[in-house]
Amino acid sequence: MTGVENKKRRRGCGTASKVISLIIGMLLIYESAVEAITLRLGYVPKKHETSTQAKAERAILERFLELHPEIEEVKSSTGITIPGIASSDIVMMSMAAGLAPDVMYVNFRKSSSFIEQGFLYPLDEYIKELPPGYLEEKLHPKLWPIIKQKGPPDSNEHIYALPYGAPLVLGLQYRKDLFKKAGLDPNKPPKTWDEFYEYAMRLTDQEKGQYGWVIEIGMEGAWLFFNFIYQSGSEIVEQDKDGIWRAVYNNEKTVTALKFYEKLLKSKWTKDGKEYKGVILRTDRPWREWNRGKIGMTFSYIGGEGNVLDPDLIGVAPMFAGPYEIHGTEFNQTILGINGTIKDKIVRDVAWEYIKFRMGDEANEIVTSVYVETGEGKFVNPEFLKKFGYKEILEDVPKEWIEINEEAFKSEYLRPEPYGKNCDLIYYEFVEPMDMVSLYDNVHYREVLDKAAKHTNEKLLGYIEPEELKKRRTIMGVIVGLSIIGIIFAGIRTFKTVIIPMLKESVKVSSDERKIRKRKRLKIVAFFFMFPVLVSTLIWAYYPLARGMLMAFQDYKVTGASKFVGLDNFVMLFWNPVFWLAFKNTAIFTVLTLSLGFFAPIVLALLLNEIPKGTLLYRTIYYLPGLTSGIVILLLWKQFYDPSPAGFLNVLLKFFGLPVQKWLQDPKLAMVCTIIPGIWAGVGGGSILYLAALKNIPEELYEAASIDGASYWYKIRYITLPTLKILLITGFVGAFIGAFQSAGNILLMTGGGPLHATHVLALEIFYSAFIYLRFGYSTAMAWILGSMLIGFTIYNLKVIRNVRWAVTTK
Amino acid sequence: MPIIDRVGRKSKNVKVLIVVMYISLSLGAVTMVYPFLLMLASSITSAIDMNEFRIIPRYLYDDEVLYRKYLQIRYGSIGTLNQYHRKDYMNFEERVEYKKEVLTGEKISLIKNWIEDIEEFKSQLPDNYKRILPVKTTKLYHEFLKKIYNKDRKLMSKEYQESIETFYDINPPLEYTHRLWKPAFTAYERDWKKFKDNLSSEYFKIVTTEGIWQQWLKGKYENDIGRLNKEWGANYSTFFEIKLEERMSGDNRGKREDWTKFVKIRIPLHWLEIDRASNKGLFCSYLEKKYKNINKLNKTYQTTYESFSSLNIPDLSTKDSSILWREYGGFVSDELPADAIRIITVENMHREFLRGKYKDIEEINNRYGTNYTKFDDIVIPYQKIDEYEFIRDKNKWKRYFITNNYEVVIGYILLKGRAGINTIIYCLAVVLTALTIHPLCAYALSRFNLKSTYKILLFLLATMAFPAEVAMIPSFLLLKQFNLLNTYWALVLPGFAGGFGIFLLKGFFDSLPRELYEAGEIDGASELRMFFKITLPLSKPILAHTALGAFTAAYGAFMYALLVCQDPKMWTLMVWLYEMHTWAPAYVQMASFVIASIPTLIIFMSCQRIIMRGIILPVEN
Repeated sequence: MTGVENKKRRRGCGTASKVISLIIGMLLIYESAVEAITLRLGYVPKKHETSTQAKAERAILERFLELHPEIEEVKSSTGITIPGIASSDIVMMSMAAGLAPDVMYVNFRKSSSFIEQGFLYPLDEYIKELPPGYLEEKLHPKLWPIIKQKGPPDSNEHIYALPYGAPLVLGLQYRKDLFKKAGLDPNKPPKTWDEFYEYAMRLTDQEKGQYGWVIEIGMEGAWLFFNFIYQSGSEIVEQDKDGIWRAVYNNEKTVTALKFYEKLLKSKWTKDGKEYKGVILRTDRPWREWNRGKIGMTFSYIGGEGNVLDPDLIGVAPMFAGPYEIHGTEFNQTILGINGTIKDKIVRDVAWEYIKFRMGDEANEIVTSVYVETGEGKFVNPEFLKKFGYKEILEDVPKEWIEINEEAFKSEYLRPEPYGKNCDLIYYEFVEPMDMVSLYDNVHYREVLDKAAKHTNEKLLGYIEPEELKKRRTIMGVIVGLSIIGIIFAGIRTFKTVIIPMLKESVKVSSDERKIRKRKRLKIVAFFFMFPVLVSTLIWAYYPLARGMLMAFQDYKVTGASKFVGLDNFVMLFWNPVFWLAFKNTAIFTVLTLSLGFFAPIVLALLLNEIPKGTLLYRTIYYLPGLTSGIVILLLWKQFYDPSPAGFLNVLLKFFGLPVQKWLQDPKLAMVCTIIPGIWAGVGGGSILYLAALKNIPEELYEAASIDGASYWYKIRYITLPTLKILLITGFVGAFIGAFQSAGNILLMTGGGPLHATHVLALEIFYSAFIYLRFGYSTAMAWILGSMLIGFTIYNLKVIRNVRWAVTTK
Repeated sequence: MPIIDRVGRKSKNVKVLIVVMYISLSLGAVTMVYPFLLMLASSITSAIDMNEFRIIPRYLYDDEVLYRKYLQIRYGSIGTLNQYHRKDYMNFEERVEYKKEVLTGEKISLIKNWIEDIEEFKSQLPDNYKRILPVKTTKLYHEFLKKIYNKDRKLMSKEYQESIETFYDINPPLEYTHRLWKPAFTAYERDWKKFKDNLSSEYFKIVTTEGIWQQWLKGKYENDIGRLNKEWGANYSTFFEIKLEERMSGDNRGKREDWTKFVKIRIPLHWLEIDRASNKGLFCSYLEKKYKNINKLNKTYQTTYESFSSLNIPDLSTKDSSILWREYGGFVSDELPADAIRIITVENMHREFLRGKYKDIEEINNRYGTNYTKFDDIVIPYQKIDEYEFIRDKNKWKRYFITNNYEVVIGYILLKGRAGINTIIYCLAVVLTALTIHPLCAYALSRFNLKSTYKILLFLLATMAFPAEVAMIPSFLLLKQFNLLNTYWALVLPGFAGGFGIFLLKGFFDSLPRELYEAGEIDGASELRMFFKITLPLSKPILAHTALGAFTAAYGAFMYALLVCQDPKMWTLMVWLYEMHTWAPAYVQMASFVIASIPTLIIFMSCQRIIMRGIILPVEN
């Protein structure tokens, strides 16, 4: 058993040997046999990080480096999180950028996608090194189907990843202080659904913002809810005899789970003569509420370290059981694989060494010792404490924790997180049934589940009846054929009406001999002047377009080996209801944005133009929000839209005696809410243009009209509007195209939710490409979006062709 | 010009209309300004008053709120405050005890006597009974590191044996907090110790042992003093009366068990004292029992002991003597009889200190204005001292709360990352592109009357029809192919292709008087010279306009800037801002918003004339 301190000391020798090997390496530079190896890990903790988990990871790494002096450097590949998407999900981009770590962290639900995409290297050749029976002894039997799947290079079964640390299972975590306050016995956590409901009710004190349980909106919530499905006796997915995974939760058992969820959320109950609704909180930031001590119970993994809890404050229990005594709960574990795109065998070998080391007993021993030394030994898996001889710590561990740890893994109803093909989508699709039940009463449970399961199977798990597929391909072929004819027809028209006149406007050229010579010289100069722009346009605008066109007909894979799939991408999206929903939302978004955002500055400009005094002051005030930049405005408003009663806008509503709103979480309000910040920030800047144009109208025109006794409407209709015409048209078309393509705001504010209420096309493109790794499909969609807009763009070109730009002076 | 003419303005209806206009404009103005002010106000709040949404935060005029904020900063968690103040507060948001009464001369001098003695006591106190107050010291620590390494990161990286990007990355270590804590004897801890030695005693606070003991008992007996009295056969009226005795004493089993468990398992080992000489044998046999073979122990700790009897009870004075510290922990909890242990509490040391300083309890009562009957009853009145010190330094704390969020943001974004320099380079490059490359191209199109002018324009504009998403993925792959990801080029190069801007500039250049160029030609000026001397100066308004647009777009770019530069070293201000949003509390975020608005504010203020005057409008030919 080795202490961390000793490792740190011996690390000195490691460094010395590294320096020496470096010097030797430099001496032998021409026949350099010793190559400096850099290993990239997902996360490399620094020495001076103070969390115990970081310290433990650091100690493991240092020991590993000591054992492998050939490694020159360990780098961390960092990512950023995007709302609603875990950083581990943005793999595509980091893969494509060559920034993905050499040792990859794999989610169960992502495992199949990763394997299929070639992100993981089969480990068979390395596993041969291991002593026989080693894995069988180390691995939890439930883990095998996840790490051993069919995949590249030969579509046979290979092991692609190996676990480290202890297996995890979801359990119940609860606050003893709140239990006591509510008159509940902290040593008797709920054991059944009924008890869970009862406890949650007693723990709820809505005036204080206190609730029995908390569930996150969106995919995280679906993840939690799946445990109720297991408890109801149903499964989420099943593999049929052909090896195809299908969602199977559309049954009466899941209906009982949904009903139970609805009861938690909505059932009416009374306390001290007052009537309340619901005993759980549904929010987008559940952990914030939990950390504030406002939540009585929550689900959390049992078994791993790093879950540092105060045993006097926090109790832990195995998952309760559903109506049929089923203690169903999720099973999970951290698993690691080797990046499949590594070219250099040496790096791959080192990556394997790391995985092997991380899985081995020495690493577990280091983790345990670091936790013990920082006084958090009792949070390590009790198995490890036993194994590595920390009897005294074991005594400090609450007895219940040890028992729970044994008991929780005994359950015959442990269910690994769904891991089959495209199972990362399974949460995503289940958000809808959950939102439906949360937002509406009298939902037809079975129908909702059937629909979700159907979408999941047909559209997302890639399962379509072969005959149906054939039919759809034919229909698609016809559609595409017709579109091509249409495009050609439109193209000829455009060419005739727009392009030919444009081209005809060639300049009269003098025939003077001297001037011709000069023109030749000028031509060369002109070419030099234009060169950077022309080349850049070719490279950065035309080439990507062309390549994008190709991708739309491919099943594109970053790691290579993309297949042409004909029209299949288009088939998939035309029969995908989400696509049509996104299309509808885009239309709604565009109409709303234009009706609010396009007219607001015009109205403001008209008002500012009419008032006799104070124009400058008002103009400055309205311009103020525009001084902050885009993302600041969004994040600022996101703060204002806090749906809790303590949120700013809700406090404001309460002040005026109005009911509290859910803002971005309300499907009816969400769309408007995403639009308002942009208008707030843009109305001042936009109005300045119109105001300048209004001021530019010569006074004489109005005076003359007044003398003729013209009405205001006449003046607006015949003097104001014609002057503003060009500005209005270009502004409108620009705003239209902008709104149609816009995704950024929505991505940051709602991520497309709730209930897909703000899921627009551009967002669907973003998600399919960067989260679900379907580049071909998403490019196909981008093309459809582009072709819908092409008419407007051409119209815009036609208008601005006849326009001159002038600077106003007033 | 207004549509309503001067004559029309005199009619009654129109007057009403104008009043309505003013009202709606004013209402709109409030919705413009209010969120803005709220952002400013929230940026100077902290966790306690964040959700009050007042345009003027309450602590600026209400001392009670300020006091709660002060306590939160000083003690961190409500549990720690309860340990020191001997209270049962649930959180900082609700009221805490705060006496508003002005301290009069006499009372002040009594408290000053306390403080004076405590400072003296603190200066004699061993290191492991003092904690550094985190407020302000982190900043001093970074300054200190910078100074001793002469701002040389490489030197420091060598010393610390890892690559250090900035001095601001280094966190102070967690000290003395957990049971088995021991110094690591590294360069990092050596520097930390050096830093601490130079700090004056005001940056330290005394630990509390009795406070931890009382809270521990409260947890164990579920805050029911009756239960404890029953177990212990005692009659305390509150938990706060229970002192922690140095040695296990009394006959009561319950009390003895609680004391033993608390001392053996809860308290950091370095606060305990045992007789090393007489317990050495026991320690050796404990290890012998555990390891059986000395080689096994040597293997575990990489040591070279010859036999178990050559082992000594470890201490923390040197690296070698502390190797077996963990075993010592096991020994104390498993093997050592409780009556061999003595716990040195800071409270008892304090009482001892007073005993030495004053001859009897009466002198103390006179000096402090108290009425203790014996030394063992003396308790440091943290609550009173905090109140006094708070009132004394009230304005300092007000200033601290006003500036702190900003300091956090600046420390995190500007000093830690390279956000500032990245953003400046990116914005400058983009503005430069908008001022040189695009106008040059537009000049060529406008000036030379080429046959292909419109063909070229069409070529430049045609790609506008396609949404950015079609090209996004291939562009990204292209950048990767050219090895441009995570470089400034990735941010700037694709921007060279600027169809619409060039079209706009060309239109404007067309309107410039031809005669000037003819005159220039006669003088024999080159095209480049004419471009710089004639075209650019005459086009100031439109150039300013396009440059401003380019700046705003570059400054606000987030998604693109993140996609092509995923390496944190290359993140711009907006990306950092977003990253901060994922972890920072709302009040710090608000400060970051304000800071991010400052550059745009400055640019807009200085370009105000251009924005408001030189507006470019499309006019029909």
